[in-house]
Amino acid sequence: MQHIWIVLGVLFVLLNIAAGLIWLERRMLAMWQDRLGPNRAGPLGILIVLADTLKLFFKEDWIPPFADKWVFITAPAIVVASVLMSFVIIPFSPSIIVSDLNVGILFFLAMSSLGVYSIVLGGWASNNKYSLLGALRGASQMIAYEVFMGLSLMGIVMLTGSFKLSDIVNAQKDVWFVFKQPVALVIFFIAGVAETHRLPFDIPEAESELIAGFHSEYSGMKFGMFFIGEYLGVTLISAMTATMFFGGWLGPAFLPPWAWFFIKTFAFILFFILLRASLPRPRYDQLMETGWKVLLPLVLLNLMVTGAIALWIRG
Amino acid sequence: MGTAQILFWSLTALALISAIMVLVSKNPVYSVLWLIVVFFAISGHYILLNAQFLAIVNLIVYAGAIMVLFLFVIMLMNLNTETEPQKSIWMKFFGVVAGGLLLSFFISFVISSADLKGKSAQLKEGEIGLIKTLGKALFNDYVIPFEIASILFLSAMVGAVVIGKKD
Amino acid sequence: MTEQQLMALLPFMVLAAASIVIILLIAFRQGHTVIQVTGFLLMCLVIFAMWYVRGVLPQTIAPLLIVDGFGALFTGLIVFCVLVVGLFSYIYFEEREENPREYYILIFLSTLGAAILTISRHFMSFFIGLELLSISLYALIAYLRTRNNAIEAGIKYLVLAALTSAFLLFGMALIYMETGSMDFAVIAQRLNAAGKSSALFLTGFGVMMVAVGFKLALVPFHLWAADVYQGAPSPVASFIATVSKVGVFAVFLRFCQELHLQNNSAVMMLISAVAILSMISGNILALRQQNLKRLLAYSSIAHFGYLLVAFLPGNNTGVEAAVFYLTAYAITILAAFGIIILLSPGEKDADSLSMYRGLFWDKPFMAIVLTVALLSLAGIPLTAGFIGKFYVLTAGVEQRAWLPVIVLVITSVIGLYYYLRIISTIFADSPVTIQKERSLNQFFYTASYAALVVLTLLLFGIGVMPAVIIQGIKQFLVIDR
Repeated sequence: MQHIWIVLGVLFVLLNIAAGLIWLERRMLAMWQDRLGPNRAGPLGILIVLADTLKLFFKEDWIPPFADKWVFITAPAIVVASVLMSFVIIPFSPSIIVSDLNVGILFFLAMSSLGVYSIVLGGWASNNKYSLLGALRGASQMIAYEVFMGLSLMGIVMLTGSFKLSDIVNAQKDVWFVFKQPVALVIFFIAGVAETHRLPFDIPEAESELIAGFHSEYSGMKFGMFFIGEYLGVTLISAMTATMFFGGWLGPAFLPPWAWFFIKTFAFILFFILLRASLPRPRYDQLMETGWKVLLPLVLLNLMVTGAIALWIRG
Repeated sequence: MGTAQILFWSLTALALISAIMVLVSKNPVYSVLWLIVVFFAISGHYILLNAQFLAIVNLIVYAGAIMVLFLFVIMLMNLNTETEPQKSIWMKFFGVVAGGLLLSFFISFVISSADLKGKSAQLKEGEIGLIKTLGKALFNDYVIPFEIASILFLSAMVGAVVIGKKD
Repeated sequence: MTEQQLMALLPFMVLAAASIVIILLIAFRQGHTVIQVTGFLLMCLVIFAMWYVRGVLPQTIAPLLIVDGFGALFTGLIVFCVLVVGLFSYIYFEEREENPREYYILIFLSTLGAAILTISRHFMSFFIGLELLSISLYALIAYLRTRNNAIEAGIKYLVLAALTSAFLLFGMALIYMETGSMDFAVIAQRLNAAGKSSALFLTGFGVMMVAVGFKLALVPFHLWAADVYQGAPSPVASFIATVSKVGVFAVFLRFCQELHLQNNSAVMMLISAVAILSMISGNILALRQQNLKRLLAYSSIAHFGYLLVAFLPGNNTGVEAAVFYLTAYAITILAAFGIIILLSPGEKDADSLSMYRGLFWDKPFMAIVLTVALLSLAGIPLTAGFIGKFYVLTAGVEQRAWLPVIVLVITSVIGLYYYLRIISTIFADSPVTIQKERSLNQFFYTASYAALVVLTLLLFGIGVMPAVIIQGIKQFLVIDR
């Protein structure tokens, strides 16, 4: 019975965070770009969330007649479903975790692989040149960076000896993995930004370059779903970074564990928004080249060195 | 029926129906999507057999990577019913007959095999599906095919680049 | 793994290292000649490694591999074939504009796959070796991708090979379901312990035969052979005709020997049916061919039908006859394809029969080599092919397998027609000169001619004095188990 409360609680908190990010992102972007941002609706502009959501709900739900109806409808659902599923394994505190799977990290990688489908299917179902182009580029970017994401986490698995996220958090009791695996942190974060196709890796959307990329034809709540999916993805990568590299819910005792977890996650969410505010977008071929020619050798080197040092330490 | 039975039969039904839909769909992209559903059902079966690693890796590799590449190719090929040559109705008929005969052979052999009689779907317990056991077996007993499989990937990569590069 | 096991694997490790060395050479921008010579030397190194480790054989590397005399024999044959194919490839690829350097990587990887097949004693190594062999071949067949038939041949081979691999896996799964193990020896034990013949095993074996039949181009899985031989570059076609078939035949022979399948009458009926059909259709389909490569493809189908007749008895004579026949066949095919390669002008292959009209008056040496090769394929005395057929007939008659033997004789006579037709074309009146720019390395031409001379002498030598080879084979087959 308690389990149902955990599930419902996690779902509630996540969806609120995703909605709250609408406001947070626009205010923080504004702050870093030296302007005001939404400040009319409600105190500090916080009711903008309500306004945006109501607007999306009440918009006409139009499916283009030239689009492939069923695939068009399923595409946004896939991204939200897969990202929400990924939250199943994340330990919010020693007792709040929806399901502590034996294959936790692999489950996370599986769900992020499934996220590629939303882009590909969304772009194809729209039956529109720009969408298809955005979709194919986005899909190849996501598949490439998935590889690096997985491999960068394998160093931590080697040090912990387990795929379970609770084991990984417990293994960081004396020193956080950020000090033991700095290269892996950098690569994981870069790959994570590419996976959620946020700036500077937002070729799939490519505002002002490809109209709106793979979601050009989407409007109303389906568009809203894509955006919820993106914000949930940002939260997911921040949560994973906090868990894997920065100790998750570990912290001095004057705050409860879940508070530490949220503080660390929010720090990374802010970092995501900072990236969006400051970096330019690289070209598509530069993106792919850097990935395969720089990041892949680095992550393999990291794996080898970690393995060597782990063997040496174990005697 | 216990939970295991219900899960087993529903996953089986899902897998079979999706597999038939793969064959029957008019649109090749729909076939790929139904195939992805088949893979989910098979991963479910693996979990029932306690083969955890296999289930997840099936999802990552098959449903997550290979099917995306299938989708790429199919989307770029732009197949239409009008432009594709249709097979004659007799070929389809004889195909179904031959396949059905083969299926009935297999089913009859499996059913008549003595030690499968009377067993129904069970959950598998034990250590064998865990990643730890798999890792130990892979790197101790089966290290040679592991290395040869890596050479296999090398040959596939070289072959793909040789055929695919433009110059 | 003990040190002895590692020693026994040394030739295979050298083979794997060969492809890595070639990759590094390409990365350091070496030319075609350097890579060709290095490849040749590395293959010689593999043969040397095999000679070097002969003291530790037989070694079982549980659970998948066994390096014994049987495996050494077939691996030796495979490496010899690759040596010759590699040598001929230089001439062929120099005259074509495609970058030939990656070709060597793929050839060596394919050879590694075939070599693993010869030493495998477990379904898993069977499958991995088969896939390694096939995947490299997909790219090799379509290598000259701007030619007409190359991509078509590549796709045909790819789709069919992938399909039959699926059948292979399903057959293996059925046999595993029956016996609970994938190890050949353990399967044999469990089947014997079960007593009565198992229907599930028969079904599994039948399904596995689909894959084996595809790779060996047996009827009814032979439809790919002619198109692939025609579309692939000639060295690759000769590779498929020799190495890939030798590898698959080796593992199939080992499987049937371990399980004593010769005593299983249902399996033997299946194999004799396939053999008879292959002999008949291979010979009949070749009768009207005007294209030499397609004709060689159809005659390969027939030859593997003859080979299966030797395989039926399963006693020692049968195995020796099969190995001898395979050796003679490999040498013959290498000689025939060598001629085709040397005669191929820049753009197309020399595969149309009209190109061979009056070859004797123009290039007598090549004409003689081709004639000897064709006579050996036909089974005329004084050549290795005759001794091979003789042995096969002996083995078949010993076992009183009358129907296959009679079909063998009749179809050999039918086959004589098209071989003699080519020979008469070669000696015909009006010579057609094939213009070729000899702008290349005279050294490699001389080397290829030398290789052809060696092959022809081997053909005659084996035909006249087969005892040496047969003694050698007997010796190898004794050092096992």
